[in-house]
Amino acid sequence: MTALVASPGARSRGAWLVAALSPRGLFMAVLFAGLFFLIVLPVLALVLGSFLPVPPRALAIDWSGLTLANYRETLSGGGFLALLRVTLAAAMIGTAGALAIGASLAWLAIRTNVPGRHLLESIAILPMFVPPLVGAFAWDILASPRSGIINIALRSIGIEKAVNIYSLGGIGFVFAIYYAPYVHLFVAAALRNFDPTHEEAARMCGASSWRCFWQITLPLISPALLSSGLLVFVLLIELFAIPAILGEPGNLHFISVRIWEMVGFTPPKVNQASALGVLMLVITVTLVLLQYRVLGKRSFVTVSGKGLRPDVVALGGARWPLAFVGFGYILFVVLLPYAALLFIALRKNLFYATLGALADTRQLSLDQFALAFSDPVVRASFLNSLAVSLGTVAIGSVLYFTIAYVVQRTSLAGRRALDVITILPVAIPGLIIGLGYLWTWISLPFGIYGTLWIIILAYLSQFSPQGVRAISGSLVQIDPELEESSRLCGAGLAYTLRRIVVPLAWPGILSAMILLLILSFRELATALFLYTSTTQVFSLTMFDFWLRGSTNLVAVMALVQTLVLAILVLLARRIRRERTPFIT
Amino acid sequence: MAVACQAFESQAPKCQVEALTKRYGTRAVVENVSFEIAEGEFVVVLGPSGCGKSTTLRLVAGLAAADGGRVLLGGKAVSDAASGLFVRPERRDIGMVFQSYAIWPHMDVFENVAYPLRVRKRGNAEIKQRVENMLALVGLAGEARRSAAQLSGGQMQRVALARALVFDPTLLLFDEPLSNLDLKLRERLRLELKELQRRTGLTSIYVTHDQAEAVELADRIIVMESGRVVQVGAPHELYRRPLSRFVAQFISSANIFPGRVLARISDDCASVRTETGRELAATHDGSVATGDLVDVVIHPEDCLLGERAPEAPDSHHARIVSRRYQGTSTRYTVDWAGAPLEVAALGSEAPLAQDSPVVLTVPRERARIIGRSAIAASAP
Repeated sequence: MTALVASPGARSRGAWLVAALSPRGLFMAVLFAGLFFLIVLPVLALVLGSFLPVPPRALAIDWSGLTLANYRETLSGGGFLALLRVTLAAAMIGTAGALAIGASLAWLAIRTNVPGRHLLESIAILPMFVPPLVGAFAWDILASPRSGIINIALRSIGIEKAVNIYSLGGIGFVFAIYYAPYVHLFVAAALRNFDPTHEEAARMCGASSWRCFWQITLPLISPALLSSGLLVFVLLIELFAIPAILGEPGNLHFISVRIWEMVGFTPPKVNQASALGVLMLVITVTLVLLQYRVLGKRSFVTVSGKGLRPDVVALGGARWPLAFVGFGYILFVVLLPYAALLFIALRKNLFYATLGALADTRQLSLDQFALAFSDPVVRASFLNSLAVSLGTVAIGSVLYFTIAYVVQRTSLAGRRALDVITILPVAIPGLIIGLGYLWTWISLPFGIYGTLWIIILAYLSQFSPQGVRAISGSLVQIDPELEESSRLCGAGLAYTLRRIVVPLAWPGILSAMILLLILSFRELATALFLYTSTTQVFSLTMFDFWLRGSTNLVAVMALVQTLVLAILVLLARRIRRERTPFIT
Repeated sequence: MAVACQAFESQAPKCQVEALTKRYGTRAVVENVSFEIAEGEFVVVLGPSGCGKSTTLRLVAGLAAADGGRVLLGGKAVSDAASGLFVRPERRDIGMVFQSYAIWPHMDVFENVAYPLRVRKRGNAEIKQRVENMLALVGLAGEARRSAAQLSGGQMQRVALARALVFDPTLLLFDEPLSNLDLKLRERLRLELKELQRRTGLTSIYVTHDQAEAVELADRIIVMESGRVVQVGAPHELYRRPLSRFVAQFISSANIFPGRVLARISDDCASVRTETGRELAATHDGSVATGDLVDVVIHPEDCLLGERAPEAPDSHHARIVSRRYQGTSTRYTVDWAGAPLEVAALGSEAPLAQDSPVVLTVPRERARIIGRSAIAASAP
């Protein structure tokens, strides 16, 4: 009844081999192999493909054909610089806007006495739950230069071409409103943990509240601003849906959209697309590394542990106007788009040019709903999305839990490397993962290309950072002594996992599962290169119908998708409330 | 065979630790630690935080693997770094009470205590019987169905104890179990714990940094400093005959004066001049020689004030500098040859006033000479 372990003191080459062949060694080897296929191999295949002259053919790689031609072609003629300029400019505008909106709302909700601040705090992150694709549809309907509802309304009072969503500013605006919640979450956490004595000390030293804000408060929350800003910037560079919908009509070309066009339009230029993809990867990886440096260097711990809620700033006469602005903004970016989608979904005829035509109630009917629900493509892709999401959740929860447990709770050799590999996809755009999967599986002789499995695997790879982090978060909260006491009571690892760890981590595991369900149900870019006519997922169908001009159907589908996601989110909140009382 | 084996086991110490070493990176947190614990003994491992006492306990429990040395339970090795032998904690049959109590919040009191029996696949009737007996023993009869999340600190401590005892372990480990409780409760539970251990006769190792707890609970105390054992002995031995300045300081609030041996008066007595210029006679263990640099340890409660003539042996002129009345005793700081000395006088009277001259007596059999930097592990 004893287990042999190699002593770390005397590790010769032979001992290493013994360790590698032990059950623990084999377990880690299997885990590493799995993650290699899931995450590392597709990236390697993509990089390799970017140096090849021809599309991939089953395992037959002509190594002598390695060439820089794809890069030369991509980088020559200024095309790449133009793409880069547009992509970076829009991402910068979006990031600046997201920082301004997210930080102001966080400050308003947490540090002021604005009426309804608790409600404001919880609804400020609502825009995050609007899928970018759906947001893009809605703002196209609302603010396209000629037929946008806002422009029609303004034209009726004599203002011509007031807003143009197909511009850098327009796209930056849509970026900003849907990514501001990320900034809000970071800054709100920093403000909530803020030790008010820092400010009080400054005031006692004679600083005015204005000076105190600039010299004490702002510097102390600057790490939150900087790291959330970098995160949003990376996400915006990676984004496909909004640029694809709103960029092309205004002749604004983004890197991600260009990659999709190169692969999808005839003649396909997969090799050049891969080169462009690798260049994009270089940018995102650099930015993510930068973000980690920033986070690592400048974490000002201001948590005092006394649980003091920072003093609120009395706004005086500005209370109500600011409440109006805060709540009005949320309504504007969440409700208005859905109102527009609902309007389009209910309207028979999409040709309207005046306010009068818009208000014509005779045009309203439920026909489009019936049409969408009976459409075989819509139905099939809904079921496909459901299957993919459930598959991702089923495999993902087990895989991510295993990884999180090994990293957080064991001393197995190689667990740090495991952690690093699962974080990698943070820096890999979904589109690039998809392209890597295309390279890998089209050339491997296993028949998963063209099935739903390849989409599930790509999602598992794409969402591993979020999934592992969510479960790790709940494991970290469990005092290790709760496990150790079980071991001393005579329970083995399996029994301890079943009776102690999983029940205690369950709320976290469940929210991770729902998060996965939400992410995989709405994902578009990752599946873009991996579907066939029988494995089209819901977001792809929406995108496809939009390109073909079936705006009615898309509006109905967007509403259905949002409804499904909203139910999932509510479910998640309910479970978290019910199951967390004993986690401190 | 079985009989012979049992006879052998009753001969062997319940727990033996031999040359145990644990490193984190290059830093040794436990270094060459050895001790033995006899059947039914209550041993306290005492030391400041970071001295390696909790790590030693975890090595015995099997919650960490040693880099060197052996652990034997009932004469059988359960971990041996040299051969790579390591018995997992769940196979060691040890009960443990954790600092955080580690009461599982998703189970009620009964299920927490029943857990070790469920792991061992005992029948429901037996489980019910034993858990109820155990809850009665720790004073929680009738609380079986309380949710673990609603328990107070003291109740959690009792549940943890019941859970550690319920499966009749061969050894009981305590990792600072009282440190999260307030003073009054701590004192009461200390009494109960000692009483319970006397009744069950369980061999126990108890880790703490609180010397009052150690002195009260222990049959024997193992004092640790920087990963090493510095002294082992019964509480009164440590108090009366500390082997080092560290032990004297840690175990009591003694006055400690550096000085030099002037002359040996007898085999166990010598005269010493302190660095501040006092001369006094004090007891030693026979190993000191004239001219040695030593420390003199004087417990405040061993000094007498004003009872003898200044000409009597061991008596000196002194002056009261300050007086702190504490109810059952009074602490004085006295000026003796130009340097302060702490003196405690028992009783609720405090007759000596500040600045009054007084005769101070330091009986030579109570003042103790210890060698400077004498880190000598005493034989267990």
